[in-house]
Amino acid sequence: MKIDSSLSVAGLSFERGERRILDAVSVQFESGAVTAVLGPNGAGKSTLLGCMAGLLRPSLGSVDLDGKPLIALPADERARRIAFLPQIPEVSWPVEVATLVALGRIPFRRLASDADNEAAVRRAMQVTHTAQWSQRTVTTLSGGERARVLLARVIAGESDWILADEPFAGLDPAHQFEAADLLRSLAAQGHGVVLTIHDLALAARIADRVVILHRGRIVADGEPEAALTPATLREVYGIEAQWLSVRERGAPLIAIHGRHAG
Amino acid sequence: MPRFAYASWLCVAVLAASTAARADEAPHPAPSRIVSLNQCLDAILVELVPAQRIAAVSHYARDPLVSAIADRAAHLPITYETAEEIVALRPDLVLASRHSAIATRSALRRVGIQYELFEVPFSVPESVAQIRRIAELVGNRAAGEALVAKIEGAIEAARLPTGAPRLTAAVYGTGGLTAGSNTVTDELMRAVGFDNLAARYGIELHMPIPLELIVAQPPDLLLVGDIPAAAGMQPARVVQHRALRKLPSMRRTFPARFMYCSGPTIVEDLAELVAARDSLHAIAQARAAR
Amino acid sequence: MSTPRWLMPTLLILVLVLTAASIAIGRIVLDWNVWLEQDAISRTILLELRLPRALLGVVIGAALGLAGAAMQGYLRNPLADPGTLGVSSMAALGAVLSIFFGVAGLHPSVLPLSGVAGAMIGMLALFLLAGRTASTLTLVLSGVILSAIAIAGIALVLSLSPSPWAAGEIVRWMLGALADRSLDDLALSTPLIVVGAILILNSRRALDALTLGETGARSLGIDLGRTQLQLASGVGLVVGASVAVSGIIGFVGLVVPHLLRPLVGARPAALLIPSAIGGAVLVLAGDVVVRLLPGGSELQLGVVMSLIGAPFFFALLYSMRRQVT
Repeated sequence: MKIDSSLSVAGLSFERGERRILDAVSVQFESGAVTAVLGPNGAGKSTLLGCMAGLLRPSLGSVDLDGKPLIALPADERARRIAFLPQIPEVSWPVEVATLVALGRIPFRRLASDADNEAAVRRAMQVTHTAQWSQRTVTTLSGGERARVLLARVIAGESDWILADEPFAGLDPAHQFEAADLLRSLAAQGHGVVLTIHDLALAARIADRVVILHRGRIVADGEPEAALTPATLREVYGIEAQWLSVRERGAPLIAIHGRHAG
Repeated sequence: MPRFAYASWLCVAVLAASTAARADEAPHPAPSRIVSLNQCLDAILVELVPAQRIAAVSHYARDPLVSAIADRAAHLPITYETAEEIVALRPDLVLASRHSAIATRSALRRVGIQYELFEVPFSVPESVAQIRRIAELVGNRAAGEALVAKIEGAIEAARLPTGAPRLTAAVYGTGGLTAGSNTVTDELMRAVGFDNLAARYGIELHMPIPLELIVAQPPDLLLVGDIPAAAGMQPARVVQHRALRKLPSMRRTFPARFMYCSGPTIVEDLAELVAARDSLHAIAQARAAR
Repeated sequence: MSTPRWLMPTLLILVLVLTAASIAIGRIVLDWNVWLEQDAISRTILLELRLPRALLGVVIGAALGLAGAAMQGYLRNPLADPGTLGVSSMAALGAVLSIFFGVAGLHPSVLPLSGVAGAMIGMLALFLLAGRTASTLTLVLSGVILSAIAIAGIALVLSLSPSPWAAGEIVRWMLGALADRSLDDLALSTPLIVVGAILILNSRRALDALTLGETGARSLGIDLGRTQLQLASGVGLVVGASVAVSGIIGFVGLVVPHLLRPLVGARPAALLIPSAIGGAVLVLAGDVVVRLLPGGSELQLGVVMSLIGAPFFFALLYSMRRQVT
């Protein structure tokens, strides 16, 4: 199934009080790829993602889905097309895992039958390997397990786009790779995946495309090796880094040596 | 600092005045600056002394809904029953009730103003004793006896004629309150010839009576509490309950002052009861004649 | 987890049984063939006194249970309840003010509508003070503040009241009771409660979506501003109309959802209707108990609910104390 969709922002600016968090950002994302949005703290990554999900209203510029303005879409339809995984894994009530995953079907209202909803929830739990916890209370799960369940909620929505804000934060390496593999397979199936991430090395490994934000502007955009040059990293992050090729393993890794001396 | 000094000066002045007054009390001159703090006591007071000797009555005295002397009180000075106002009047006699605020009473004691405390009377003899006590205090025993005679005479005149059948009555006031046994209202009702429904169910004093009891055995006369114009809440609305509207009882309005005050209001109360009784008897006779 | 199949039928049967008990129990013993005999008195007692009391028990109990479940779902806190968060007190203030300003006598509907206005203002003030992401501590404190404001307002009205006996009457009304209410009370309050319940039930999806937090809910297409208004109106109607008729009957909205959560699951929307029915059961049961207790005068229903609910609230707060701040 090929999802041919594009999500783009044009001339996007976002101001909060005196601060300009995003400054005339323009970028287009295509479905079928994993894009990582990187940048130091305060660069505007979460704000960009929030605008793209329709959760924040930009001060200037627009967000377009398949060429049409996002704000023109009714909220339910937008929620069906674009799923958002918030940074903070809030679960307010001790519900069962199956119940939580089923929340991803809320935007469907009466458009989907109960059978459709149950099937989508089942598929999502299978893909995330959370089916065995179906009747367990979410609050009894560990952090990594809960992250998988929340991802299953997003997947249950079967939306074209999945925007995830720091989905790997607080996860141990094994769980990080597990989640990353999942996101990659979703992209392979044709979904558009855009995520913000702190971990440069992980981003370099899993992303098809990297967009680097610095002080509200895009300073790099391309494949990881092309965008994450040592020079860019020195300027944006103030660190010394280098690409390494670990012969037995294949894909090159990025190694961070330390802070930039200057 | 100056305010404190003024207050202590005021207290000293009042103490001196009251001490001086007590020093003069040897030949017991009749009090000429009388303050009453309760609308029921107000009604008794105005019968016993001329207006010049009344320094103030309670502010409720001017409210026709709760006071029997509303028109007369319009020309009398009033207080809002605060210690400050009472002190400023330099009273030589203060009549207070159990309903007067405890803090106000303590304040009066602290400042050295004596007050006479009166309870709600629970029987006609108690009410009569109150009138006599007030008459003694104001130095007008004769007026007191006249009022007592008027009341006792009214009661005698109101008594059920021998051979006339007894009737039943009940009071249903706001909040569902009734006058049970051991109340003046109960005694008056019985004297006029009404058996009190509430007393039959063992209700004493002023307690709520479940509407069911009244509906189950509708009295011949239902004395319904009056509702102030702005009422809307359940305690007031309950006297307009649909269940009451369907009762065959004769309905008469029963102002709250009849329930809680005695003294002179007894005469008014009796007149209403007698009128109702005579109407009921007339209706019964007319029905029997047919 | 879905609601166990036996729960709803059991609750409904309990409502029917307790309604029958409420109609049957009272100071006067009614003959059971009261319909057959042309006994006007028994019919009057049955239709004008027992029936409204029982039906109001159902309607008001359901209203309070529903309001509690809705508030807990929206504020994402199991301690939320119209009583504890001051909404019932604000409803009482609205009712008392309508008396004080003399408008209550204009039309019988003015009083319940004033209660509704008071409750709605209370809800909006609560949202303003506590917001949606408030901790338990902030919520409870907001409730304390609202209750304090309401009680101050009522005390002011009491002190300015023209009649020396009005204070006692108003205080007794506020303590909460269903005794001697009439079909008029039922007719006035039920439509308001039904409309409020519909508004609350319309927010089902939003309440569920809030399980994922504010951002999560909005990402699912929920308009939180509209939800807030819907709930303020819905809870305002439901609580305001109830308080106007019965005074303050507290803790129903706190106890019932808490008892049902282990059975029904913690999903907020799933708790709404069971809490309504459970609320009816609790209030009916309490109203039957006050009539069965020995003693001359009936205890006020609100007093009995507080005697049960306050220790319950204490125990709940204690068990949650680590999550309070």
